[in-house]
Amino acid sequence: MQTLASALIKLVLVTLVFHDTTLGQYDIIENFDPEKELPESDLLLLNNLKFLHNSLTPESATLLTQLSFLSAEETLALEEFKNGKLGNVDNSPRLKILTVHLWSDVAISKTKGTFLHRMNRTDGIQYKWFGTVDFGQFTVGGLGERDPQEVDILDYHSLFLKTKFQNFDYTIGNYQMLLGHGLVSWRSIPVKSDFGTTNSALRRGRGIQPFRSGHESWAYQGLGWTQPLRQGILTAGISYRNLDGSLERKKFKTSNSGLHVSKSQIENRGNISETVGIADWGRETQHGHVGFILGGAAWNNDKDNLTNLATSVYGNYQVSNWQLFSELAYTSQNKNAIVGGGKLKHKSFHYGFVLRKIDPDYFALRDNVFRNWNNQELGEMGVLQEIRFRLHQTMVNIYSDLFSRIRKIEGEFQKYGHETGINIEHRFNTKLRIQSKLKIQESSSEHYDYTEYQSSAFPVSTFKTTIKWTQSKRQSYQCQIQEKHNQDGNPSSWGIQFRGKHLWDRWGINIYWVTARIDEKNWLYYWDVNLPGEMKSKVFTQSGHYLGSSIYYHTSDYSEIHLRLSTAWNSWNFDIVPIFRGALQINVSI
Amino acid sequence: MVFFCPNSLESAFESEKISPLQNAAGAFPFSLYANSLGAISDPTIISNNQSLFSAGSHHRKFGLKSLTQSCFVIGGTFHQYGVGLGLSRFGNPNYSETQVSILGGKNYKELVQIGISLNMYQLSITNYGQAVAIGSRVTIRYAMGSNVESIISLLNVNRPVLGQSREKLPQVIATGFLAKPHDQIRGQVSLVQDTEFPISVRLGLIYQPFNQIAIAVGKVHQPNIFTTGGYIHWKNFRIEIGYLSHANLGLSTYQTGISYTRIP
Repeated sequence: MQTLASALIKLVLVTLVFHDTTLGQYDIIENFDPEKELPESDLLLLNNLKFLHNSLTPESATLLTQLSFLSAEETLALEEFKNGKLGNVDNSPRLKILTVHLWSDVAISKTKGTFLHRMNRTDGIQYKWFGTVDFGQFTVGGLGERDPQEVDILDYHSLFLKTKFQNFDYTIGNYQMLLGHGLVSWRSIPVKSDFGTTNSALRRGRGIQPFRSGHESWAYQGLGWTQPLRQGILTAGISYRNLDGSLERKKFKTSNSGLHVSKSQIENRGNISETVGIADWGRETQHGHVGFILGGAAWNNDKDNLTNLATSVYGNYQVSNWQLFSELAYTSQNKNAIVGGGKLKHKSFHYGFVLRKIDPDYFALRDNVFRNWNNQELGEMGVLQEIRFRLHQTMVNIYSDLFSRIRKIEGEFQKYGHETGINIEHRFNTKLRIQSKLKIQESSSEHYDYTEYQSSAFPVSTFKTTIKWTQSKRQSYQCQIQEKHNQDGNPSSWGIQFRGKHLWDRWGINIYWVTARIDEKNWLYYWDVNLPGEMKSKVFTQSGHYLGSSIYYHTSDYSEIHLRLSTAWNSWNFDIVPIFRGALQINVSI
Repeated sequence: MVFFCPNSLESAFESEKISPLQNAAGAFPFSLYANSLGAISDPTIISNNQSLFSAGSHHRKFGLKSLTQSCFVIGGTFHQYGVGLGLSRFGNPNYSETQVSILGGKNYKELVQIGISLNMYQLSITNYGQAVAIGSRVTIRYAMGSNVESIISLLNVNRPVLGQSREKLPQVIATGFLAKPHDQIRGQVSLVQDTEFPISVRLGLIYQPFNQIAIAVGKVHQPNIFTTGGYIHWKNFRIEIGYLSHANLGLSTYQTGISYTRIP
């Protein structure tokens, strides 16, 4: 069996050689699919971790556990680290990469606060400010944002104060509640089908967290607290705020855009008033954790009002090598949803599955459970399976997600869909790594471009090969080749990206080049050149070329300046005026 | 008589209150030196321990009496805080904009200087009456090493509006870097964005061949302006001049100012 698998891997690697070239690797989060969003709170947390801490300490480990992409094992390792056990952190490759990336520089004295100012030029200029100050007894943080063309200088702002008093943890201001597995209250970005999804879906929410994201209509605003009880822990929150959203057909939806430029956007700013009360009780058991959530909300606008009560029961259980989880929720709209799954771990072999069934029109308070389709009206049920194993220096990861809508409607939307991915990563030595991903998707797409609605019923295959060459910690290169095609006989879209990173004592530079040949609707996505605290992807909707670079200057132990410049030619023959973009970011700490 | 093109007519209180030297060095929106008129636009500069000072300037835009602007500031240290009072007036007997600013600054760890100003805006038009609004400015100056400072400022975060028509007062985001690569040379790069207008990019250089004299040159992009000027330092006085050549208008204007610092 092992011989067969080894031969298969060699065959794939031989195929990769045809893709030519060499090159190198960057941050852990670049392993995620650029077609999917990453929570901004994760990026800002990483920024805080870098500037507020020098190394892995109990305090920095607490912040690390809030990262959404860590697995249950990784958060457990961090929890154990806080209690003095170091071994599991050392045995976790991703945690090691994270800590090396965050704190590789010369240690400086501990700082109390960090502040970020970013100007990002797109169609206009977006401004963003983020700061956190740790006063010991309490932590204060805030985020401000002005999107391009918005007239108000501080169109969106968010503040929080976090403190501890007599075993109670209080968060005042803007906060989010991550409860259970996301059927009632979760972060603004859901878990999607991808490599590692079983890890993310298995992970239980960690209760109240200060809201650090730029999503303007997601945070609760008020008071949240956590208190130990004789039996278990109670986490509760009350919130009142105005937000952008819609109340239609007895259904509430928050707006995701956050833009207030057009007349209607300005008029609809804060058009819905919301009152929320939510509580979660949970306790550890002999084999895991059980919890119960109860929440209610009332929404009002000029024309309508709506109330919804939601309740859920969830649990995590360890049975032999299996880790199981489930959550079952029911709302006063007479809708229910269930998500459950498990993961088997045996040495370097992992198998996981996730089942979900979400009623049409199901909504709770801030639910954002794992699902493939964003469309909530039609419901969804599906099963995702994932296998991961290591053979010598080769890591293999395969997932498959089958899903269907519960309600069928006339039109272009398909009722069934599937998504399958295969990822093979081989580390030849400490410098050279080759990673190859094949992803096949068949589902009605749900996005819009600037001119028309996009819908595709053909399976789309995406093949991506990444070759990473890490010459040293200060010098690395990467080449990524991507091919995407509809299985309807049309030509493929092709893209190639070269990247190089060079660091000196105080200076650093990243250079990107991407050339893409696009066929019709088969858009290609690449991670863009990014500044600390952002993770944008660059989408190629037409053939063209892209040159990007970021430069950073480490002005002192406590401050950095980052600059990003990019040029895009949206024409294969360069016979077009290029589009220039840029960004400036100042990071300081005190 | 002055004619304005309606499309580019600025609203009330759009005229910047900066010193002649700031204008000469590319209309830098932040203070270049302590004890200067720059404290009105950037109160961080009064956060350092310093003696009592005062400064004033007079300016007829494009030589037109109708567009006269006068500014005055007085400041010093009170306990560990810098405090000051600023006053500016723009216009003519028929139309006048008056701004009174209460300034405060605090230095933290010799690393961060925070400046706050509370501004009272008063607009007065003969035979129409007057209107008052309260605005604010928050400025943060950070020492990014021994040779570079970064400064960020937000004007009128509290969204003040003026009069019955609820005219929105300018909201401005300014970002700047002030570098001192050599004892005799200072350079600035700044980005100024009024939320109603395109971003303005500004560059400037100040060369100080002797302690008593400095000359400055600069360039403003949006609007297109070339700037020059300098100062002469004599005893407790500093006399500044700024000269601005508006390339698109084909017009130029100058501003003069004087500051006084009490040597303890």
